[in-house]
Amino acid sequence: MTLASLAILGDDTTGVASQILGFTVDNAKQNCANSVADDGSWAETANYWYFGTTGHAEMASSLLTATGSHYGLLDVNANFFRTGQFHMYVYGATSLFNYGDHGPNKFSTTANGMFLYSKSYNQPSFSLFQREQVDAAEPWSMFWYDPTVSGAFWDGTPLDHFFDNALDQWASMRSSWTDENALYVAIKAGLNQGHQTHNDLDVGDFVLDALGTRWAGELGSGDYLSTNYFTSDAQDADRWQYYRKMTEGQNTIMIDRGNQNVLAQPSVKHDSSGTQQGSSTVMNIPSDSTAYWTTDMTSAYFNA
Amino acid sequence: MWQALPNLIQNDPYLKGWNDTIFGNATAYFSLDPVVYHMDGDSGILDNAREIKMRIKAFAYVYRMTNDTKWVDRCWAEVQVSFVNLAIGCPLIKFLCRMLLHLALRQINGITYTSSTLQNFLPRWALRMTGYTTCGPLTRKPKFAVPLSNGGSNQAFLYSPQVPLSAGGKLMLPAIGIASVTED
Repeated sequence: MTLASLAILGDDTTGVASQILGFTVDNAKQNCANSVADDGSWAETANYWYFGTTGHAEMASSLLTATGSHYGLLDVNANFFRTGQFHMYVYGATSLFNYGDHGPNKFSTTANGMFLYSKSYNQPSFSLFQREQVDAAEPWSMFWYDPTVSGAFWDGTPLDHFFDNALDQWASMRSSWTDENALYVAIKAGLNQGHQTHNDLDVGDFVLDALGTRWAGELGSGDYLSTNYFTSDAQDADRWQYYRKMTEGQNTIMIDRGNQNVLAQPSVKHDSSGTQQGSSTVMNIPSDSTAYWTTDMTSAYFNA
Repeated sequence: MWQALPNLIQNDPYLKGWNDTIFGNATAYFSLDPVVYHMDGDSGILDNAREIKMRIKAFAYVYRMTNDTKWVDRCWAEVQVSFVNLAIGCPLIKFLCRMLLHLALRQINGITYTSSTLQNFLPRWALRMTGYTTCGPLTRKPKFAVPLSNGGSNQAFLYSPQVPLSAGGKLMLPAIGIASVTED
């Protein structure tokens, strides 16, 4: 709506384009911009991050180039910039930590908002990371990428990072940023509600990459046309009767063949040696490098 | 920005690689049949809409870099199938495809959006598309609407969400169209 309105703003004699812009910008600032938690995690899922940030970046860019202002879209959420870091850490050695719904096919949806965010938030690592990705090769990159950026995204970047917002408590731990055969473990706790009905009942869920293979993976979305798939995320919701959404379909503990409590409020503990990769693409892990993450997920069960 | 691209592409290996890939993709899409909507898959019509957007972005980019109007014609073929030849499909589908095309074109045209660049970009389209600014009943509940009544031929009317909506305003249709496809 924003792009269409901007495109015809000069020709529209009805005032509607202007009127729509009055709604859409505020709406995006109140909703889309706040899909990023204070730790950078995207409220829906790691895959829906692509759809959300593509729209956000297109909207911000079009407002900027057409009018010279983003009207607060880029900074109404002071932590929005952290979502670039979220994307880097949620991307494992082989693929995404793709918990919850993975969503429709992406086609024109990419992570290339990273280029815009790199410039807008002065975060060179976002651009340095994204320019190495296969989905960078599409038209938006031609305008959002700043070729004067220099360095390496892995240089000085910690191997591990913990995301502690209660909505999506999760951990990302790896043995290298630059080796597709690296060990990568990502694991989550977080709330079982508040994800725009795109999540699973999956406190304790994890993925594991090693030797270039994902050994513990995710099943992703169910059929979006399934009865009441999106209707509710209450305890008795039909959504939780679908295998890919129920606790049984996750890489976590199931008790009494039952679903987790949708009102779970897990807690987490973690620490890391803080090991960083250097400038080389060859990462030699020091013998004292380590990381751990634990969760008390008792509240996710009715009979624990 | 468009004028700066050729030099940047020659001097930056990333931009050069992406440019080559986009040209390759556009060439591959060129010989494919236009995207056809058969029936809802588990992603509804989102797949069709996004695939059309993907193609149009590539076609439009290559057109802007080459000024070869065969890319405009290929875009138009995509449009015709998307919202003209789908007469047996839902009117909303035709409408959404047209809308997304509209959007993609203006996006690619831009990054700088002005009416003059739009007219420079696709003068033939603008004329042709005017003929297709018809409206049909929307079969899905609108998520967003701007009520307007400004008289004359641009009147638009919004009924309750349970009742099909009709509109005559050129902007009303795109607005609701996008709102309908962004719900997932």
